[in-house]
Amino acid sequence: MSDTALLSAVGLARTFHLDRIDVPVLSECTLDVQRGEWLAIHGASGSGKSTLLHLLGGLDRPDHGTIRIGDVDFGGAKPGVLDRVRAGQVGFVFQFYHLLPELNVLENAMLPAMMPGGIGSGPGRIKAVGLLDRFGMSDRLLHRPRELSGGERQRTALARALVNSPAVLLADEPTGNLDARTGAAILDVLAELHRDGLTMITVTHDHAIAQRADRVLTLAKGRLDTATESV
Amino acid sequence: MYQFLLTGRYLASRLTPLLAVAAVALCVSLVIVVVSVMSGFLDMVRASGRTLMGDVIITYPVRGIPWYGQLIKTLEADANVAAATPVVDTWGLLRMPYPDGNAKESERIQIWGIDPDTFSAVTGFADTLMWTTVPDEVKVYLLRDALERSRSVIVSALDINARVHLLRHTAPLETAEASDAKLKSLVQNMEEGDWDVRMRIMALDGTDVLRTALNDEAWQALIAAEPRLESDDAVLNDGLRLERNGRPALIAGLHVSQANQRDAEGETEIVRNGYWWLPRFNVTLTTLPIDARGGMLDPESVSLPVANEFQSGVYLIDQTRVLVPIDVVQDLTHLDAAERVDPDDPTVVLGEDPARATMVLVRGTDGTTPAALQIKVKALYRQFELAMAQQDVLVQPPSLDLSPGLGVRTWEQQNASFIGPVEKERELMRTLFSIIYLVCGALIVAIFWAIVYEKTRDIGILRSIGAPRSGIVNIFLLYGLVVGVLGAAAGVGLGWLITTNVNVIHDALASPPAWPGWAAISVGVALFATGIVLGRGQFLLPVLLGVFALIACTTVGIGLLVLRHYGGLVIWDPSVYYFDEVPSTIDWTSAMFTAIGAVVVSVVAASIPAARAADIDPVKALRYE
Repeated sequence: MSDTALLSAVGLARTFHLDRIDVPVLSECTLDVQRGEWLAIHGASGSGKSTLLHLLGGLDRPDHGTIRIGDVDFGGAKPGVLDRVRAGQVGFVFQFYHLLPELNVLENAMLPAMMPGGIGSGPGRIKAVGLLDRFGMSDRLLHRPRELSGGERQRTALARALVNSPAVLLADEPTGNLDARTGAAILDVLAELHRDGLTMITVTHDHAIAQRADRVLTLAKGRLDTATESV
Repeated sequence: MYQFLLTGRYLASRLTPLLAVAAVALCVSLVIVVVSVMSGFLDMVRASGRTLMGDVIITYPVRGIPWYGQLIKTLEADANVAAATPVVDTWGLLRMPYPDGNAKESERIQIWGIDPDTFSAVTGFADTLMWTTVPDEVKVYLLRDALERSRSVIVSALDINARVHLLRHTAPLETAEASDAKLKSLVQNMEEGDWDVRMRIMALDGTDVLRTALNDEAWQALIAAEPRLESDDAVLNDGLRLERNGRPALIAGLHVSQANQRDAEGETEIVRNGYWWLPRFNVTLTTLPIDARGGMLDPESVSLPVANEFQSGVYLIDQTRVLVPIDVVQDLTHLDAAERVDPDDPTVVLGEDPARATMVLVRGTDGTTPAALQIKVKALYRQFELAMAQQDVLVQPPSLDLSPGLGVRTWEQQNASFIGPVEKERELMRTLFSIIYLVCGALIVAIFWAIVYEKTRDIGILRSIGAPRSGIVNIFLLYGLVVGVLGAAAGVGLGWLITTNVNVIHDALASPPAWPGWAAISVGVALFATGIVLGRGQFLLPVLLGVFALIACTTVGIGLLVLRHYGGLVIWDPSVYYFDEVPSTIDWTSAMFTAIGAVVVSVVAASIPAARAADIDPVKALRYE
């Protein structure tokens, strides 16, 4: 574990209890992510990638282990602390976009700014418009998600993830629901953000995507295989 | 902030919350309509009760209050008292003029001896008089009565021209078309007994027609026998003065006479087309007076003409009460003035035993409440008691402290026996209908539960971008608040619309036109056809909805047509509820409390699904499809 890392996770373990059966998903996962680094976590379906990402983003809590982003330790923190982490420290991008269907593109993108710990609705609107403009969505601001293509939805989701200027962007199979061409375009956007200094963690089962990252960790049977690290 | 944004969008984009709004609106409007009608009914009963009572009543039954004139002077000297009037109240029998023949019916009645002038000043007596003019159908009977009473005087006053006129209009055609000269010669040979019959025949076309036939002298003779034939307001003035033809007369409650019947529209019909109009007749009043020691004396009777009838609006009163000049009732009950003699030597007069009144009704000035006036009247009565004691008279008035039978009550306390049950009935209805809140709450829980279920993924998304659990709770509480406010507002509007038009709706049900029935059937058929077209043989739901619409609309339509066929539905039967119309004034205080209650219920009910929403695991919610 490095003191200089932006994100550190040590000894993370997570077991799900399904009916009366304990299903261990993660055990003893430890990783560091440096500021400005793009880390890809590669693994097969069911290997625990999404669970790890949820733990790193404060959406779920580990059974054991600690997580720190910057100065905030939140591995075993109370729900209020996790809410603030999700609002201000991380931005999530999901495979299925997860936009709110009743809101238009602009409202979806600026929604995190309205949360406690967000930058506020006024600044959020300006920031969201800027991000959507950057992602080529300026002519779609008032459209509803159902009126958008898959790529446009993911760009909107990206703008939403970045509106509060999070320390880390967490992307779960960001191109998993897109065709190859649209997926490549989204990867280009991610690469551009990375070049601008954004710290990113993406989880994917696709080797091609993992290869675009600075570093790749492989997750197998709930354990990170540090031996497979590559730069 | 985001809660407002999402609540607004959820409301605007889904049908489900509109169902919740509609459920709240229906519940609120139902409670408002029921409570408003019941409150209106209570107000009408109260207003009617007060009309014949004044604000405060001093009562000392049977024995009566002596020196009541002094008491009234003492009361009226006070700035809070507008007027006071004595009443002698007793029970008796009224021998009615019906049926024909000698075996007449008698009614058990409450007799109020009143002084009409001061009674009018205290109560709304003048406004309750039923007959302001003689009903047209009655005039022919009045004419017959007048002819029976003064036939010879009236007939002898007929001049030759009047007789020719009468003959021309009442004779067979060939005679009627004869010349004046021929008719004059015929008239000379006719018997005097014919003319009253001819006048009655002519009066069938109206007393105005008869007037044109008669010479002035004959008409004046007729009017002298029955002034009400000429003067439109004679019957009203008779009522106000409690006299007829200069004699003391009686005014009966409208339903004392069983000849007055109310039809389904609330109109009074006089049996036999006006024949049994009570002010035509004399009635006999009988009472049982009580002596000074409380013993029963021999019955006393008096025959009185009926001057008019009154309608207070309270069936109990209108069915049993008659108003008679106070001196007549004092005579009947032995409460009139007399000399008090020494029981050991009846030749020795000890002093005056004054006339008595069993009640004194008091009206307060504007702005004086009955309760405040009651306190004032008690103080004034004590003042009267003291003054009479100082005068050293033989008979002292009852004491407020020592005479248990003496009461000083507000009109509401006096009428508690019939206001109380209506009040209880209203509270019972309010309580029963408040159970609707539970239905309303259950509906909101069910609808919001479904909304939370539908929005599970949205909840996961909101949690993933930092929404705390309290934020999720607030979304659904705000949602419940908005549904409650919109539903309550719509419910108040709907309740107001129904309440203010309740008589129009009622009248429409009582005599429904045919077109709404046919319109409902047509709409049902149209909706069914639309469902078939939209279903296109592929979708079941539009067809099913079309079938339901057809069943519902045709049921309503056929129901309306059947209702029309059987003469309509009268729910508020004036012959049962007495008042002609359903009370149609909204009770705004109740409406506001109902609306606030609905909002509170909506928010409380929404809190249950809101808590469930907050407890949803965001990770599971994001995986929810």
